[in-house]
Amino acid sequence: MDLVFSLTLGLHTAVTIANLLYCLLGVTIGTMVGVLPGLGAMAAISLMLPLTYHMADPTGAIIMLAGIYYGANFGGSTASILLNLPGTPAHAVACFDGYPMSQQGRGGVALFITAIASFVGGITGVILLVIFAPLISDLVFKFGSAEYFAVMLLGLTAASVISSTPPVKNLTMVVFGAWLGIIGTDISSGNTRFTFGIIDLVNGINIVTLAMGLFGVAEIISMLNERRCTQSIVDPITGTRSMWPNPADWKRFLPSSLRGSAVGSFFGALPGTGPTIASFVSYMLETKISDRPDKFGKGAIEGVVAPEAANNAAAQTAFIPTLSLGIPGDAIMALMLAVFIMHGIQPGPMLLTNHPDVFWGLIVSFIIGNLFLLVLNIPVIGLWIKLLSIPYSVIYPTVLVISALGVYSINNNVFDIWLMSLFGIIGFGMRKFGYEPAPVLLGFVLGPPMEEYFRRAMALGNGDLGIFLIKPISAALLGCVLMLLIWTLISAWRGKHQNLS
Amino acid sequence: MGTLQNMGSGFFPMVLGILMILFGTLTLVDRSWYQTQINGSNIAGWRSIILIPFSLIVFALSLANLGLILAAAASVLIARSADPRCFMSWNTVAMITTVPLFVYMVFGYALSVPLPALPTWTLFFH
Repeated sequence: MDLVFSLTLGLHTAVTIANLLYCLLGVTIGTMVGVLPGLGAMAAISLMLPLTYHMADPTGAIIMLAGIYYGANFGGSTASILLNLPGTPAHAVACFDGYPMSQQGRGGVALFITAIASFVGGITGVILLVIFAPLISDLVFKFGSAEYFAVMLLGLTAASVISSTPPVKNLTMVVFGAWLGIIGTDISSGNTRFTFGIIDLVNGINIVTLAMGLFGVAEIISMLNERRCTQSIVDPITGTRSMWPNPADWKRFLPSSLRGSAVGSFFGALPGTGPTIASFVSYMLETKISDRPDKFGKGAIEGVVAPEAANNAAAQTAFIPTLSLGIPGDAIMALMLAVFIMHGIQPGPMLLTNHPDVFWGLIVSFIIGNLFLLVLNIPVIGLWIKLLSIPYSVIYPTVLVISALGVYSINNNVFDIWLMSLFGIIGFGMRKFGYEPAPVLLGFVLGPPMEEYFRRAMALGNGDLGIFLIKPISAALLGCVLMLLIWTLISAWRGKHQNLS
Repeated sequence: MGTLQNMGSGFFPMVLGILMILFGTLTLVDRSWYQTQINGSNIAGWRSIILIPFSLIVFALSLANLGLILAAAASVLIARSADPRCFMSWNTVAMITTVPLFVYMVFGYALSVPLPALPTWTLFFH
């Protein structure tokens, strides 16, 4: 009964004209950004974030920005299917079977059925979010400073370890991010750290500046440097005349989309993994359990449906740890966390008690947003295809100027623009040498709180380091960290031995 | 700086520094973690590395003096020059005129960001 009441509260919050419009705007921008290769949800959210400062009601802002996030997951498959060019990394998998379908003249079918698959995935994710976020929040009430420190450490370790790049490199980036987070004033003592006398740094580096520089500007430099996408994207060859899939397709659709949703929901909630890994794992799963494995890569419908359902489900469940624990699972969630904090709302267990309208309003807006996406995307697909013909060389200067202004408007200070260009160069260098930028953002967001919680744990425990091991939850979490580290060492050692032999 | 039990403000930076040195050494020492080939081509495409940040820097510097519209136009011009193929084209001219106006509408007008639209030394002509 509590659930019905909560959902009604959410309905009241989400179904106001303003919030509905924000939701629509968010998912539309998200789809647009997802369709266009080279522009991601990350850039769009960081761009829109400063614009939302002036809003009195934070709920609308959050609804919109979240809409951009999962909207991008809806649109990202369009370019993959039609042009063999993923709109976002999470949609690389859709190229494998989607593009062949396009070449067989079944592009329209692919687009239509992925829209529905994305919807199924999204709704599954929301259902799980509704079930699990309150449960975890209840559990987290028992969390003290020691437990928070341990869970943040686990999140950072997991993010570093569960990745294709070597863990040491990721950990280096996490430390770098934590260092960037420290720049500014130390809360407990009032000393300024690493400001080098620059007065603009006394309040620290803003996350939007960091995100825009490291991801947006660096991406632009990277694209131009490697001469990718500098020419107008060629008009796609589609057979969009008939979009309705045949009955054989429908038969395969339901089980694979449900499988994809399950995989996606799991990986979305896990810190360190997200829609990208979810889509890949889902694809692998489909090939392994299929009765016609040879069809994959040539236009098997499960190869498109399952990963799409997976990445949309992952996008929704990624909110579970963010909302209930305040621990972001990847860089975009770290940005969403910043969105909450900037509007004065602290995610975590208190979110449900202090701001139930925001939480449930957000959840209902997810459902409404997914519906918008489903209903609006199908007729509007032609428009998105037209969008793809805008050359990148027109897009990037516009994005550059808009991001410069967005960053300026945070503090009305050009210093942020300097910082952003500096981070752009650093981010580009990182990409060249094979370092992931995402852990930097995670370290930036989680590093300083970790220090604070550690200090508090020490203060409460009278300087006894054992407090982390005495408290059961904290000990269990630290045990997980240890297991992750051991697992990495073992697989690295095994990998080396295989290389030798 | 304090001890582990009673951290001062210098302790955490020290920890971070030590971790950095540790990870850096590990990366150097273990050659299998070395990226033996830099991603993509060499850093021969110097144009983009210099010009994109330069475009931002020009924007930052000229914002107060030249006003939003001119600063945006200059920034777009420099950013376009980073792509040598399409620099000399009508698209560039179109962008130099439309993007600043669009940006002014959104940021200067709709969102009321406090920025002069036109150069400040022409203000006494208004």
